[in-house]
Amino acid sequence: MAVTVEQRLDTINGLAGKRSETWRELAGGVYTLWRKHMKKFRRSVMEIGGTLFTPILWMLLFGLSMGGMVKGISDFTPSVNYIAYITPGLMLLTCLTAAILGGTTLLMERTTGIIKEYLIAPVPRLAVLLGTMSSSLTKAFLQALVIIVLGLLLGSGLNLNPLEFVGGLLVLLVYTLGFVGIASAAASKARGMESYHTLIGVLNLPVLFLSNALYPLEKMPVVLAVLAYLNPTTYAIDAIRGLFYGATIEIGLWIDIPVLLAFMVLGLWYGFRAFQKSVTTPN
Amino acid sequence: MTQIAQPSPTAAPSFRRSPAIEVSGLVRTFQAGQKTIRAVDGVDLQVESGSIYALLGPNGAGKTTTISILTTLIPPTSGLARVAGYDVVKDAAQVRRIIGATFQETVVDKNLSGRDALDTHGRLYHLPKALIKSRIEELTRLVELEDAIDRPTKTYSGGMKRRLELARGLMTAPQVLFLDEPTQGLDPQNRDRIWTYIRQLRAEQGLTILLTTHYMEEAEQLADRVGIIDAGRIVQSGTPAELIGALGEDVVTILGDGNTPNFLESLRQQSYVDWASQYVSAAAEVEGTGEIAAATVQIGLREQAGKFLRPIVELAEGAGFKIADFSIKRPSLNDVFLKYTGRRLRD
Repeated sequence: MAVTVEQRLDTINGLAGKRSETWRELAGGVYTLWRKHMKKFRRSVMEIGGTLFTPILWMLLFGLSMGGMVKGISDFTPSVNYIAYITPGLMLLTCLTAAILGGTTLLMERTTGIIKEYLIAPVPRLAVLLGTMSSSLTKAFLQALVIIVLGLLLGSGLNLNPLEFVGGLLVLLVYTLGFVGIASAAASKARGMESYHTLIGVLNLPVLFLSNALYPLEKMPVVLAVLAYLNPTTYAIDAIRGLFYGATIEIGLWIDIPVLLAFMVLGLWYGFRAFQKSVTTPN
Repeated sequence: MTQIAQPSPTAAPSFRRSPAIEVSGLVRTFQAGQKTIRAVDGVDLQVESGSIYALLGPNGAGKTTTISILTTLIPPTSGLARVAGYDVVKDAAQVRRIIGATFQETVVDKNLSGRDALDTHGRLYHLPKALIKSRIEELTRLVELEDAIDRPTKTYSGGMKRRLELARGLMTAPQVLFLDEPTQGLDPQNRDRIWTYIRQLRAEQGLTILLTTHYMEEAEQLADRVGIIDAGRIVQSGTPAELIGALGEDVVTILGDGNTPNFLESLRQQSYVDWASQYVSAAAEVEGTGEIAAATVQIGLREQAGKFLRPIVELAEGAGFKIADFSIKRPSLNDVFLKYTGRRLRD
């Protein structure tokens, strides 16, 4: 026991004199929590399956049957086949669901009190939020990858220009971060799982239908089109369709990207603020 | 209220180790709608290095809030709190590096193994990997979880989870350990185990422990000093022996009805009566009858009760107080609690 106490004191001394938490403590905290959440994720069939279930079902049932009606490349789906046309929207739906389920990690840790273990550890409070956000993001990306692969198997093809592909991933990142922020805010405010889970139900379908995920904007009734323009998903789909699958971009990257960046900043800001408030006021 | 003498500001600086925990004038209020609740309402306490201090009080007395402030979870509304010389607000980062804690709720991830929980904890404190490994071995042995450590914690019993949490609190070899209701809801066997570990830790490592409990027995068994906390204040503190000793020789408890003030007055005039008080709020059931006694009177005697039973009964009759039930016992912390708070502590 003597050795361990001395080693422990070395650890303290290494950080002694620093009154505030260090960068090392921030980075270590984020990594530790990311690692823990990913470990739990690997063991949770429910979370992986629950996120992938809906988009896969959409791709198989809707994509294949609708794709049969809208044969080949038509003016309905400018310059790509229908599977390639709907894959971006379903990819984003997966990311959205993953972000929301990632938020349940924070919510669960907050309501059960697990978060207290982190809050009294020598880890900045920001690390608790960033740890959760980074694991949400990782989960979203892994699952988006599954959708890309499934699309390929169903014949979506893929744009092999590396710059454009990386650009598409960045759009995916920015979009997902926006919802990770919103999910963190909801998880910081929600009183329990029930109220949080209604959020998934409320967000999922409108995000899909009130966007250009399944059909072009110009073919939509005006009211729906207006609502679609208020949905950040529309801009992300527009960009990703072009960048990943080489489709004709309807709105234009120069609008898509600023809108998505603004959405990300707002979402993250909202998440940070709500989280800060939840850890400084006891439950 | 009796307190350990505070060092006067004019005293020459000494090289004596400062107390591991120093709290003075601690206040924490919460907003509940329009009402302001003073959960902690001026707590003062000191815990010497290497000792065990028990905060004893009913639910809602302010124990958990006090621990939350001392472990830097929430800031105090006012007052001072230092842990190992560090201010819990200004030097929160330093305090966090040297404390360990277990919470009132059991908080372990059910899908992760006990080893995962300890490993994550060690990483949060930036312990070297080799040290984490050896600590896990040592502590698993200490809390007797060798067989279960690699199983998901959802397979653990309540007692095993508690023991795992204790091990987690000790992972980082903290200087000060906070235990919030460490044995709440445990069967006697598991409770005894945890008591054994706690005694062992103090004896072998000189660990300072602040624990909260609403079990008299726990405070009596474990603590070097006990602070009785009620409505956010420490109403009395001292060693268990001091607290009980201060109650006198025997305590007589009388349930009944009638002219209580008169009865109390005549009791207090007797030379063998040390103190006598009435607990209005503690309308207690008369054993076996289902009747509710209007008043509970407690009398602390200077000598053993035997020869005073008759005089007391006569005094009651003379004062117009009808006795429904009468009991004598050696005082316990329970009586100490009743005396200082006017309420019973329900186990």
